[in-house]
Amino acid sequence: MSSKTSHDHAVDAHDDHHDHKPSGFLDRWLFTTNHKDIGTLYLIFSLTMFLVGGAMAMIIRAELFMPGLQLVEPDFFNQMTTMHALTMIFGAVMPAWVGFANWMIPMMIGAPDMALPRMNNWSFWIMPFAFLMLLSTLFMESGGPAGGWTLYPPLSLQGGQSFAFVVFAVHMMGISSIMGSINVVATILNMRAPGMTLLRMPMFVWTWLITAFLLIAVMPVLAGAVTMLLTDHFFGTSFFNAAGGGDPIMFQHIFWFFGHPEVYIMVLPAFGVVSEIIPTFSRKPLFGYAAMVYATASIAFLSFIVWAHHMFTVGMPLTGELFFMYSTMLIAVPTGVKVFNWVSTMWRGAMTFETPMLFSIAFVVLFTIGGLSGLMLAIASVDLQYHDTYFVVAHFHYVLVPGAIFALMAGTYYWLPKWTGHMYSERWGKIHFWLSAISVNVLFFPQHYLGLAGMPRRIPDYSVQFTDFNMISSIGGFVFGASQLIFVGVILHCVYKSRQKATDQVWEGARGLEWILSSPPPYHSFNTPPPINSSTVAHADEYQH
Amino acid sequence: MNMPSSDSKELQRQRTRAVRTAWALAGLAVVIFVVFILSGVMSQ
Repeated sequence: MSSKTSHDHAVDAHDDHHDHKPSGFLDRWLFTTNHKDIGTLYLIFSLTMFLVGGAMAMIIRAELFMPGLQLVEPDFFNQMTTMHALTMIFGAVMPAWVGFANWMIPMMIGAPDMALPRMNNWSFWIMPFAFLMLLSTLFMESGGPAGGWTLYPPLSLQGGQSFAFVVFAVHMMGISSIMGSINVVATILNMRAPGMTLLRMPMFVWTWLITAFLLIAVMPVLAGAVTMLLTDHFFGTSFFNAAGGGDPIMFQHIFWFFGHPEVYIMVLPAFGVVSEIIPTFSRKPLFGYAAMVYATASIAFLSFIVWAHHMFTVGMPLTGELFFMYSTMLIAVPTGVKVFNWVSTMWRGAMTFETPMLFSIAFVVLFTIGGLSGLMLAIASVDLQYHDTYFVVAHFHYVLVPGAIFALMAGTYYWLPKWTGHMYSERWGKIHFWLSAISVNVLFFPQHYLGLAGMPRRIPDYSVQFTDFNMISSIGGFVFGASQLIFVGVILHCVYKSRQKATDQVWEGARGLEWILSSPPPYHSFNTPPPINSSTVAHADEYQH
Repeated sequence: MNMPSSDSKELQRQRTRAVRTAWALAGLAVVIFVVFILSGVMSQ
């Protein structure tokens, strides 16, 4: 193992600054095999898709501001709800986490780059074409998909020719995700610096390792399901066509076998980011590191055996309902372990409240609200009342917006100084946080009441009794949407205008290999393996006592 | 910056192992996809 010190590595990093970086624009960005450049491409792409999907959400909330049809035709409204979900899930949140993985995993495990750099390039460049194809369906004669992101037959089979484009786009996104996941697993299992054992890895790396296995297991299932839809639609098969002897309910089982782990694919890396940030700003090691790892693995395992809680209303045997109800409730145990450990990490810590920490604390509180409403939905008898109402919409948006997206923002503010070498504006970061944290609750909390009162989801018009809460929700939505322009402004300012240089460690309480590299890091992260010891390992229990 | 030859050899070994891991995982993904489709076809 190398005998170099942390300081030597930082010096090497500075020496390496001007080496090997392609000079031409195309060489640098189109043909790049560098993990940081590819990470940057993923992050830019996902931010763009976040704004596109957000614009669709604004159309949805504008239409729902008042009862009656104001702005768009019902079919276009349905296209917006479907495309908003597909864009946010496959275009914004998932690629953003792959961007974080690309940037951070090699630096966190002491590797020079990802294990398979050329495949890394390919897995990114598939994405823009997949989304161009998906979004282009909005301009086709038959319009975009309008049956919801779940693509349930028979509704999805009633679409026009553009459905083939949707299926092909899903295939391409799936191939991209699988290739990205294979790269992550291959990198983590094979490229760690000597001494970086599995139980010394940062939590973010652990959560991504487990996420990658989830992706490899479930994306082929989605690919198979949409292939069957494609052949049902265009080639006369009857996998899901009841008239031909097929079973449309089977599609729901298959879809949710993919769909529920998909939720954790979006949320587990968020757990990892928050588990990095809270110790830093509490100036304490993460409480119960090993328990956090086992809890993450438990959540991933349980995510495979709970899928039918999404479809209690289709009718299933009582034993089936009981199994899926109790297995779903069981997920609260490892999730509770995580929340307990985050709170215990903060307990009696020397806490400060910079923007990444504010977003992380909001994540813990608001994700827990989303988890609790999930427990309510898990109760089979109660779900018959809540199913397909705005209560479900409120639940999963609490999990995904102040959950996954707040964690993405926390991670961006946390590592942006490392990535760019400059500090962002803390003042504007906090303004962004407070506007987002308040407006996201104004946006989604009233939707619980709408759902309890019986307002169904995916409708452009509604009964007048739902008007007040819809108005409040839409106002929250507009403020939340506008707040994200501040986020874009803070990032652009940090990249192009900020004059405040970031130190190598950036944050006083930060620990881990990424912080011994310069800010910004060298083009190739670690050409020689870094030393693994108490000052460079983020969480290992053996170093914490 | 030049890499010491021992580090370079270790890096080469790591990459070889990584390629092997990648093929195994890709095979797993393809098997899931094919078995899944075949199970649907055979149940028709």
